[in-house]
Amino acid sequence: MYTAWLFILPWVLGFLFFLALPIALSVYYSFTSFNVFQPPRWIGTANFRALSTDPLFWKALYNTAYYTFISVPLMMAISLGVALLLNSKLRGMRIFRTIFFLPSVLSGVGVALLWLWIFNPDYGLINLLLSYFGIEGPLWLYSPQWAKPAMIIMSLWGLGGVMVINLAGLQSVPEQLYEAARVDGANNWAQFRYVTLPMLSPTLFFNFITLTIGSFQVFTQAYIMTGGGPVHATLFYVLYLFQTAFENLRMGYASAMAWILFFVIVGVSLFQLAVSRRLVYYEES
Amino acid sequence: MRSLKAARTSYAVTVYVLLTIGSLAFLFPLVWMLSTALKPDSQLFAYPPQWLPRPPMWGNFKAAIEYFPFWAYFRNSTIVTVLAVFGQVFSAAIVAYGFAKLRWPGREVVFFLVLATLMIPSQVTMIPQFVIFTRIGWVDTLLPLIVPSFFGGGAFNVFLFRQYYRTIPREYNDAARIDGASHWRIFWQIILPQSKPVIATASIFAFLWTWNDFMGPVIYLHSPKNFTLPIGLRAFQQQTGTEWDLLMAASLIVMIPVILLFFFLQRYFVQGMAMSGLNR
Amino acid sequence: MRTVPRHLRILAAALFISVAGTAWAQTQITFWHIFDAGPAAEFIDGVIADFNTANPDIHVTHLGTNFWDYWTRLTTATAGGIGPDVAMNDLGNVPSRANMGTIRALDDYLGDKGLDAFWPATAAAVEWQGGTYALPLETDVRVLFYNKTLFAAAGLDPNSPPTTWEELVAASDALTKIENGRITQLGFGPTLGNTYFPLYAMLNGEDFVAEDGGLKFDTPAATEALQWMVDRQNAYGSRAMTSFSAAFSGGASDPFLSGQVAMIIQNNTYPGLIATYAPDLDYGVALLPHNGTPTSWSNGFSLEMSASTANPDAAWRLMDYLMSPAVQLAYATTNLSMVGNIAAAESPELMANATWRVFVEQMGTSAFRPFSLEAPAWYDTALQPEIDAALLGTKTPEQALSDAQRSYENEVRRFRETN
Repeated sequence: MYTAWLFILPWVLGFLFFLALPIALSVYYSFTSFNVFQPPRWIGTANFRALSTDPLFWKALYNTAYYTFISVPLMMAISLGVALLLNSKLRGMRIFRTIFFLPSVLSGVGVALLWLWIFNPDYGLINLLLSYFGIEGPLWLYSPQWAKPAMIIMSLWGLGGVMVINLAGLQSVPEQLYEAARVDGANNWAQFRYVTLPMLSPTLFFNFITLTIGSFQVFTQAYIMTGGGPVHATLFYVLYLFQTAFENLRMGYASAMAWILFFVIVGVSLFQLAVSRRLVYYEES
Repeated sequence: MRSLKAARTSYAVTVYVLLTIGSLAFLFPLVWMLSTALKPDSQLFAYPPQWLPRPPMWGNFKAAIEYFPFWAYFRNSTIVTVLAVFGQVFSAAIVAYGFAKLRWPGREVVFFLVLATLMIPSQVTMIPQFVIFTRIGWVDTLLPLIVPSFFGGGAFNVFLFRQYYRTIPREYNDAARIDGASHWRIFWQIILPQSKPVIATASIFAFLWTWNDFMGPVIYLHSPKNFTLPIGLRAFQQQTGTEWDLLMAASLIVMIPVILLFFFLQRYFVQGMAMSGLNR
Repeated sequence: MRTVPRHLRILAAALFISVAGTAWAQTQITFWHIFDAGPAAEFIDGVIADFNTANPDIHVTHLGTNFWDYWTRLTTATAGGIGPDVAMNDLGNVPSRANMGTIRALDDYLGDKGLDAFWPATAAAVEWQGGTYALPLETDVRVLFYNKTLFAAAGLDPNSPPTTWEELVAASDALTKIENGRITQLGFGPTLGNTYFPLYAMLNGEDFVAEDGGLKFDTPAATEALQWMVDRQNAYGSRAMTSFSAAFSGGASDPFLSGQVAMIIQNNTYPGLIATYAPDLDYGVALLPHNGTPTSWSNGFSLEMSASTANPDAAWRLMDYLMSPAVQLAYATTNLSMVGNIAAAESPELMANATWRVFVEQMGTSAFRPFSLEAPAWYDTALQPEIDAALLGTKTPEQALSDAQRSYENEVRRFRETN
């Protein structure tokens, strides 16, 4: 008993000091006006009430939802498609896997700066490629309409991790199931629909949840590439929270935002869980 | 027979064509990055843009390193990354032993708590953590980026290690217990040496996370002597414009450790991803 | 003591002072600024070294950080209690920090002279509730830059640039060339350069100040100015115009530097950019064309003292030194800055330059935008989205400004509820 607690002691200490205490403080701050210089002053639910009428809060929430609900399904679909192609028993698949996987391990500032350059309307890669097809590319990050799509395109470049998870899932589907399906006369589509998809559904569901949570926390790209602009088109939730906290030092207001984010994430995850009960197939074990 | 063979060939051709188009799309940004990094100033803003740098300015890489205190930032990034990776992996390895190899009342409840912490967005704790680190005088030191790693190593890593330990047969433990070995010795001499794959996997994830981390350094580091490389890259964006060629060169240099690691240890990257996705 | 020769006594005193200064009585001061690279960084290095030499009892450590990250850094460091004693900051929102209590009032140091040595327009920016909380290290001023070669080619007199909006429009039409729907040469674009809606409103006689001390955007003068902007934005096709704005991301892609734009509003640091990227450009500088109210918009960088500094006297000596005419003159020469010190800005060396004389003349009429404690970033939060909507044509100028007014009033209300 004591031995066990000794082993998990690092986690217990970390939990208390870096999680439980901050969480308690964060709850408290969210009901205060607090700028770090003066002690927090209790203002009740004023932060939450003010947030409900803050257009930038709603804009940030909308931007984040837009980003999430478009990028996550696209990422799921494309990464599954690529994984299915890579799962074919042909030569050279390892090289292709490497190419698709590599960008996903490169992340952060370097990648954001690279895409800032790629999206340059006059001198960037994307509009150069579009011009080969006679298309005059949009202004991307300088356009309120195209800035979010640009961020979504950029996020798709990092789908390699999800693709590898899908590939591992595909490879763990027992070959006998396909053989049995073929004996029953199932064509390719039927095999995919009645064998692959059900067997892969726990993996897909896992991707769905983790991608959604990750998308809700999108930050670095927007901070580096646009600072939230143009016209707040890429003011994502965490960016607004960051600006509120660390540029305007409105820690109480920002703490309230953090808790709303928490409940949004929990709510969305619970919803996904409820839906998955009907759609995800778990092997009896 | 012939039609079956033809179908197989056309299937292979389709797969190859699709994969080639897709991988070109995935490679283009990196090619573009390299091309920009090698361009002379005069070619950067040529319209329409050019693919090939003429002549390739290999000196841009040297100029990029000299443009900002690269080696100082590199040193800081290395210190933070090495210590944080060590802290995360080592402490997760220890903690996971307590969850996987020891039976004690409340174990499942506490482990559920570990997993539950994965749900809490870091933004919730970011502000109070900043206030706490402020009060104890850790702001503008590397400590806030390193020390928390030593306390539990993150729920995800604990989870990875626990799952792996459970695949190590109990007999090892039982035999060692009969010989009178303490749990610490069993952990240190029996379990840990068998855990190289999960150590590699967890290290890679911890490395990627720490090496690329931006929000932590932005909040906690103020003076250039403490900057890490991701922060340093900002130096190329001046008020008056951006030095794209040097910036791309510097970004490539910062990515090189990740790319090298990826090519040498791709197996573990893949394994890690697969483990995180499948072991639900 | 009489037995000791006089020169030895002086030597001993000097020795004592220098030992005292360097070894144990030396006061440590930190100073943060935005000069992290290039000549500006070298200049500030030299200035601080000079100060340290001239003041052996004080040792200043200074630190330049990248412009984009400086503000967050300074804010978080100040919050973390490890901010500098003296810092450069935004001259546009000094009262925010004064109100928060993070910076120290300087009145007891300024004494009777007050802010007499500095541009009158900057006084409004550094004063808050009867106190003076910052010094105008450097301000800036916007003027019209125009391309003389393009003027001549279009049959316009390169020596009589437009002075009113009407003349500006006429010149712009003459200078604009369109081929296949793509603008190959633009006379004037209202969103290009270092300019924005409040400046046009100011040139149209608007000051945004309401009777109750708050801000007012939905006025006839402001609406008229916005309508003018929209008209100018759409004059040659809005898509073509937006393309131009997008290309304008600094450095070599600046359309005025490449001769694609004939007239542009820029501030007094622009000649430095021209010298770097387009040294052969034949350009002129003129007072801003206006619609009845000759003015310009200024902002800049302040010098502020931390409220928590342990050594306010030493910090003040550094600030006083940085604001002195000699240092300010050198500062102006290095950074092409409109320094806060009038004597330095109007020194004969600088006034020998015709361009500089235009800057100084424009500075005399220039103004800061009004400050709002409750909505310090009122342009970004309340106004900009609406202005962009008007420029994109999704809202009429009246509607945009009345929405901006509501948005601003809500922001004020939210601030009062949560502070």
